[in-house]
Amino acid sequence: MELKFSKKEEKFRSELRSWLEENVRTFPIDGSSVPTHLTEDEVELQKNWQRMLYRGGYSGIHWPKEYGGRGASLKEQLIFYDELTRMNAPDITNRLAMHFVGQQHAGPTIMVHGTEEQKKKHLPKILQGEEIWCQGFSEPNAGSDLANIQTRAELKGDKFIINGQKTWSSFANVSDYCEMMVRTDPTASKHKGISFLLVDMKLPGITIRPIVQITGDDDFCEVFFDNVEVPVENLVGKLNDGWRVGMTTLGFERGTAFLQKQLWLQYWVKEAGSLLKDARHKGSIDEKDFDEFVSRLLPLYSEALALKAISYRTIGLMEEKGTPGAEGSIVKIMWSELEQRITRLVKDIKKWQSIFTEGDMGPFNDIWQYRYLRSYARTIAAGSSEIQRNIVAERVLGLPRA
Amino acid sequence: MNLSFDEQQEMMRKSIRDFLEDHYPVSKTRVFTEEDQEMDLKLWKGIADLGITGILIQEEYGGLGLTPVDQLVIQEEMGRYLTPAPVKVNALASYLLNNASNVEDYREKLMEIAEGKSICTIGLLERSGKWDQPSTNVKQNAGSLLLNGTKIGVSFAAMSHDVLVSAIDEQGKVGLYLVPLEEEGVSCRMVKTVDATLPWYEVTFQNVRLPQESKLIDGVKSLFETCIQVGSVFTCAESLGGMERILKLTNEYAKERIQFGKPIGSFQAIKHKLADMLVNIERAKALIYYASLEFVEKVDTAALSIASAKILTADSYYSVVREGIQIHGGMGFSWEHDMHLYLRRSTVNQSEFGDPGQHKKVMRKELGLEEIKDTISATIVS
Repeated sequence: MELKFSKKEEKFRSELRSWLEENVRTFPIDGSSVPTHLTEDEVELQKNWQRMLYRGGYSGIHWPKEYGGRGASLKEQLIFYDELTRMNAPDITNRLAMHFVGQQHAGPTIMVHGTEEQKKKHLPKILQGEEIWCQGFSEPNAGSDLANIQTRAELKGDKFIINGQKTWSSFANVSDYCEMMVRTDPTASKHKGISFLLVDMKLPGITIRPIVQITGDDDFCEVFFDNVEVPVENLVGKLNDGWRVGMTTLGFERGTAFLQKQLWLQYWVKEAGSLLKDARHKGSIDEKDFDEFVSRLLPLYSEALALKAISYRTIGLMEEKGTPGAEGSIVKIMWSELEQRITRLVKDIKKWQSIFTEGDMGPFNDIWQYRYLRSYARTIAAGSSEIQRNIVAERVLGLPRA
Repeated sequence: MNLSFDEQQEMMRKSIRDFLEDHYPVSKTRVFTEEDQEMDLKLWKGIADLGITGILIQEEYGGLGLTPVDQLVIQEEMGRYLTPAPVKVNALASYLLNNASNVEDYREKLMEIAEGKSICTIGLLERSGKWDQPSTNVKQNAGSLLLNGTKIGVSFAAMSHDVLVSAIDEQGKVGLYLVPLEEEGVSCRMVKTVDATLPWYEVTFQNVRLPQESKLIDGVKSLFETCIQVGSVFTCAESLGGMERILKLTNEYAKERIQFGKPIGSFQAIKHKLADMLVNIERAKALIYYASLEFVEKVDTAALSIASAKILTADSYYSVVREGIQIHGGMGFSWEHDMHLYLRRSTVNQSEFGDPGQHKKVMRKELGLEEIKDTISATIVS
């Protein structure tokens, strides 16, 4: 057991640090920028950061070299996240969320289950920031009960014909591709008749309708499929084996996709501490309030540090075992619920300032107002806290299904 | 970077667990609590034979020269089985003696401890309720030291040969002193506590005359602070072992206990409680390992991380034991079930080596969030 990183890893860190110092400062947005409407300029801006990372050799740290990645270890991936947070850089957990599904879902899933052609076609483009992805999993009647999906894909000759509706699909309105779970055998039992497809979002028959969120963000979408023809070579894994493929995706989501988020929260708590000191200094809170806020902050600090520790521990374990297991659900419960408590604390520290929305930063007075509202999505998206607890109970603790 | 125990450490765990499972399971600890709480010498001999009494002592003195991180494995097992033996305090004392600048003075003592022939305990807590502010004092007198004061939370004192005592000197500096328990002026009385698996003693020092070398000389870092920090992570590790056993027992029970024609573990209300128990355990585990590694690797945030771990673990142990009792229903509240032994230990562990209030003060200082009155007095002092 040790905390120290190897010489090679530390060398990577110091090179990355210089690169970030040079590039974060000159980039127009950072880790505290409030997201804005998805205009063409905004999409271009988000792509630009990814292009810069790619040119710098920092895209896909842990992805194989042959697909455009750096071919480095998971520990270097962790260092990469560590340094991004330290520099308050823009990333997929804040302003650059558009790259999330490609880098954290579709990419890793294609790497595990995809054909060689699929890998060659998509992986480099995801890393270059040129291909944006969305997820087509949830449906109006398949949320927590994901296996209940009804969107049909009928295999006719060398094509799948898709009909149905997907929902809660982030960034579908700017995506090039969608990773989809569809029903290919309606006669089989729930989990058995599902297949996993890669779908070009420009195909005829696809209609996208944005759903405005609590935050006002307009990246969330419903997607309708009306006789959409998808070539058979876009199938990932075997026909009717899509549940297993999809679970790999969710495994990444629960295991490593939010590593960066897990590390961020420690900085958020520290920032809450600074805001608290400022507020005392300016006199906007008195000594009694200050002490109350401190006693709320200290346990959050402990939990955020524990989250960092568990992230470090997970990386070590994953290097031994490969793909993440159901233990990822434990971490998902931890970070999503902690984020809500941290943002609520800051809202309270800011008192009346958290109410007004007349600011120079778009629809929000500041980033913390956005973070507070956003936090309510965390315990729902990527598997609700309740589903995560079921997973922990059934798959880790072996308790019987109801 | 790696936050898991290696094969060798896991082998050590297995040998301890096998030994305790065979010779001193919790059922036997129960007998210990119900009888006269005399330490089982066979148990201590078994522990010494496992070769774990000297792991923090350098090889030159007959030890293994390992680190407090290795000791975590042992404390996890001690906490899992609630083993009634002074393993923790003895290991901590050996670590402190071994790290004193005048370690040569303790060569013999350390060799005896490594062999399991001598036991040293720790005395910090006083009637004030403070672990970190002794009023026990030491004065220079005719070439030797004179110790006066009373410690109330000295575990296993009657079975120990020596005690490491925190005391304040005439300059107002707090240090650690090695005191033989048979020295003239030392008296010892058992105090009843909520946790009978861990006998506590009140030890009074009345004009106890000690040679100068009884004082442990600090190196770069204060040994007294080290004592609180390492004692804290060892206590956290004990809590971790305890929490894991509670979860194991509760999980088994939830699968066996049938109500409404089904195992209660199939109901979501119970599942989610068990899931939260595991979340609490895994979270504390990662933080305990992380904080201990920061200490061993001399990272400058170690004090903050250890205080964080102590607070989080105290809270986790409380939650885990609470849900453990709740899920067991009436059985969980019965004397015959083991659950209350862990409830009792969680109460002691929350306080041992500093309650959450003490550790929160450390966190506030390290994070620059002190109370105004603290910052003012700090300015006056400097």
